[in-house]
Amino acid sequence: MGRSMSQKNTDGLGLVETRSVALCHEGLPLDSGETLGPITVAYETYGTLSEKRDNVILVCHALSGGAHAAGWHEGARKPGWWDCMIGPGKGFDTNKYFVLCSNNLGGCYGTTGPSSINPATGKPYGLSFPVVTIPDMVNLQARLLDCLEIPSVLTVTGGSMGGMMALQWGVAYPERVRSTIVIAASHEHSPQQIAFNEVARRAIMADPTWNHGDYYGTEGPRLGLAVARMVGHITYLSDSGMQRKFGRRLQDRERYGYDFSQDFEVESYLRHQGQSFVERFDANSLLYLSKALDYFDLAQGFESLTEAFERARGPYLLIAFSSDWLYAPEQVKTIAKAIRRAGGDATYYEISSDYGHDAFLLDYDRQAPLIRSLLARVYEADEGKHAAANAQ
Amino acid sequence: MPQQTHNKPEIDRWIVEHTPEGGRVLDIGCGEGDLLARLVSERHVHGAGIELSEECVVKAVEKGLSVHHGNAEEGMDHYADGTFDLVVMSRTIQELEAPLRMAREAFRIGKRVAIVFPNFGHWRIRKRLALEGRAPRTRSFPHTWYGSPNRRFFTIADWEGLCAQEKWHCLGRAFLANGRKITVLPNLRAEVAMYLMDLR
Repeated sequence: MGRSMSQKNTDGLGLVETRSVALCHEGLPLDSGETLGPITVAYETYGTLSEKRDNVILVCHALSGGAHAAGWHEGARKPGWWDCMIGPGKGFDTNKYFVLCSNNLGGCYGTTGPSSINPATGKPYGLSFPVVTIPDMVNLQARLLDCLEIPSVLTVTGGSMGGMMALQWGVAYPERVRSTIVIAASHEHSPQQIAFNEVARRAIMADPTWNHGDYYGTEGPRLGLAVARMVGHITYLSDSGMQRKFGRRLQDRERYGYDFSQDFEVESYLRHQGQSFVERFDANSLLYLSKALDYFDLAQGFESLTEAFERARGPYLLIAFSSDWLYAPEQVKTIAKAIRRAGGDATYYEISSDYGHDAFLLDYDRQAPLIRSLLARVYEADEGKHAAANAQ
Repeated sequence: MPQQTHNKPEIDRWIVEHTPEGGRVLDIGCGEGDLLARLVSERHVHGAGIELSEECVVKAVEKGLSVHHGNAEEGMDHYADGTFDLVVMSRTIQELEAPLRMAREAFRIGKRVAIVFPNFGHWRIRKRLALEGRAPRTRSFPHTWYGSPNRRFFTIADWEGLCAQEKWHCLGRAFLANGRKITVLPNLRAEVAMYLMDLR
């Protein structure tokens, strides 16, 4: 690879736009037994779809993400949430691959969720929105691929909740997935993970302005949502990372205040994270999405996790971070073991980092080489098969 | 972990020769994946590796290999009985905390096991210890006593004893010194011993 060439091709994606499409007019059957439809899906794409439609990378976002994974929106201060990884010459190289990311069912960035208008009533769904699951979200993405006439994907990938969706994809639609990249995720939510989510939900639901989910048109549960995000944010960091970032340093003061205003930098940081989240996220969406995470159990309907993976095909790349205690390396290793015991092909890679769970978005330069290698290996193997088929 | 380079071409050639075409191979302590990549290209195997070093894992994955980043114990536990046609432990076993348990694991997950180890019975080692009274340092044991990754120091005679005790069946063995095959008095003259075994 020439240096000048890689420089030329790493300028980023520039301006991008979110598109949306209405799907499931007859309704999407949900795990809960209910049916939901029509459903609007917001999505973005980057790069060019190959003639054979065989270079698709499906990116699944985490809890608070959206379809805007990379590039810039007009007038925005920040690029998409995974811009470091998606673009020309980047880990997911848009010079070679066609990247698709859609907002998850139940979200608040364009895809139908509790803040959307219920066509039957003309009002926001609120709590009348059905409870959705990770498999429901994946089933909706499959409908989106149908609509875009994409038979199968080269890889499905994501971190955190997105990683769980990628796992679900491999088991639910093995014939449509040629490889899977799972970052900092789990095959089921553990009691500890459920516990943190329950605290977050309680914070929202205990805020009187939440009003049983019926708060649209008002300010809504700003305090509850901010506290919920503060709890979440603690789980995204590590003890050593917080020690390095904040220590016991005081914020805007020389000595303790001996009151309940904010003393420590870490308090100020969490309050800021909570407040900025309120400006950009819907409290009901957090309730629904966190519940979807808690219900997630990839082995559901199978004798064991290993049996679940007996359906899966193609290689898996599993990435964990040493200081991630939310989706700890041990959980990711459990996935690797189940895939291998099922006779599958898994690479497990643990990055030493003190960023905690957040490392999945921060330590991108150490993930990119492995991702690039896996994509090249699968894409080239496919090309080889095509060549062999043509020769016969 | 830097691989020892002494006798490496001859060791790798011997392993390649004893690898079944198109089989499934696990290399424990695969390093940067040089041997596995060679087995993939020359013997068309489905290769997998286990490696502790983060840097080595990246290089091995960049060669298109599947690797477990972790120790031998947890890496082998991930596989079902008889998963592999061949499990390779090339100059790995002497670095392990529990070599016997790991060797038994290798026989559990592999139909055949290739084990290569440096021979602590070599005459230079005996001489250094006997005459100079110092911890041996030779081409196959190049490390200082305080910096060595090796935890286990054993001879070809020790290994043969363990094979008899465990009823491991030897399908082939070869001994090397300075890149050449040794047939006479291997426990005294060989730097490296290579065994291909099964459980019969």
